[in-house]
Amino acid sequence: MEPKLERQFVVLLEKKQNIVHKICRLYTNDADAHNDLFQEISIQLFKAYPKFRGEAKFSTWMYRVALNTAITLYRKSKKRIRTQDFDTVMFKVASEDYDNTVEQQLKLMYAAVKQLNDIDKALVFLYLEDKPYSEISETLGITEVNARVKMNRVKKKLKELLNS
Amino acid sequence: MDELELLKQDWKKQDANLPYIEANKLDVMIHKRSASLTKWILIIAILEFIFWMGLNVVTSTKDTADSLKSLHFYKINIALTVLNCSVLLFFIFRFYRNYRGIQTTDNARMLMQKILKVRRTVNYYVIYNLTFLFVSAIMIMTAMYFYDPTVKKLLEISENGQGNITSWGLILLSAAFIIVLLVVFWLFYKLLYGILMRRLKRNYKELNKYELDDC
Repeated sequence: MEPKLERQFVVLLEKKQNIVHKICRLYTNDADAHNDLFQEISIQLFKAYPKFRGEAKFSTWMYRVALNTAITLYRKSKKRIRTQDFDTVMFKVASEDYDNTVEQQLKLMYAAVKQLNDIDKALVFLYLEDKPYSEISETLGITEVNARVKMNRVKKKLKELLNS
Repeated sequence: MDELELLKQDWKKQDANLPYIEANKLDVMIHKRSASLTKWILIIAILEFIFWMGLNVVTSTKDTADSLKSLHFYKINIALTVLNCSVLLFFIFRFYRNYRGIQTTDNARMLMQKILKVRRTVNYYVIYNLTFLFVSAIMIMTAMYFYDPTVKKLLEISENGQGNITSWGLILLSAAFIIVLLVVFWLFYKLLYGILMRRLKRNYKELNKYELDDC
């Protein structure tokens, strides 16, 4: 890749890295795995970047490549020792202004989302990122109707997980 | 669902809690080697092509040629080798074309479909080889039955009532040997690709639920 293009890519990745980190937190359970997946997504984004023509927004394009890597391409390294670090296992509840009940509820919700399967996680992720159903369906390659049906099922599943 | 809306609001505030990697570190990171599923598929496919090609080379020595001649099998073997090489080239071409078609920018379902297609190409090649192995083993054993002096001698002894082996016994033994060989190969593939493709297949199935049209 041309140095200029490479530089351009690194600047964009640095700016938008939060998207990748959020996906890593959803799909991994410890800091090592998080870094491992982050690296693999960065490599895949870099490899695909020369073909990025700007027909979509960089972030939209990034969601697709990053989710594809997390769901399909990423292979967990067997050598890694699982270190259960709870700070990285869970998403931290962001605001401290919540009262205890709300905070507890949010913690349970994050834990329930982590228990979903790979596809449901992707659905929830895109939903939380405020993506319209048209974009969710295009990213996953399913019809919009199906995306809505699946999302309703996920909501039901989350409710069951919270009540169990 | 109220909880999910609550989560959505909290989600937007997550950014402050996320790790941050500086540009110079990202620059190093993107040049590291990928360890993706497609890379594994490529490596294993190359090994498979080499293995089956190697098997053909190993069985083409002068000694084998001589023994094949004595079994009146030499010319058939040359024809089979030519067929084998053409089939190999065909599969390598198909594999290369399908592999190049894999794009991380495709939607998730299409990407999975393309990876499965690449794997299927190699699977067909393996099935071809196993069938080839099976058919040629039967052909060689039939030729041995008619022309191999040791086998002939063994059968003559048994026909005289002195030996323990009958022609049926020999056929059954050979068939059992071939079946065991095929089962071992099949189990090996099941295990190898079971581990490698399990997650992809599970996710593909999940995406395809309620989906009637094709991508």
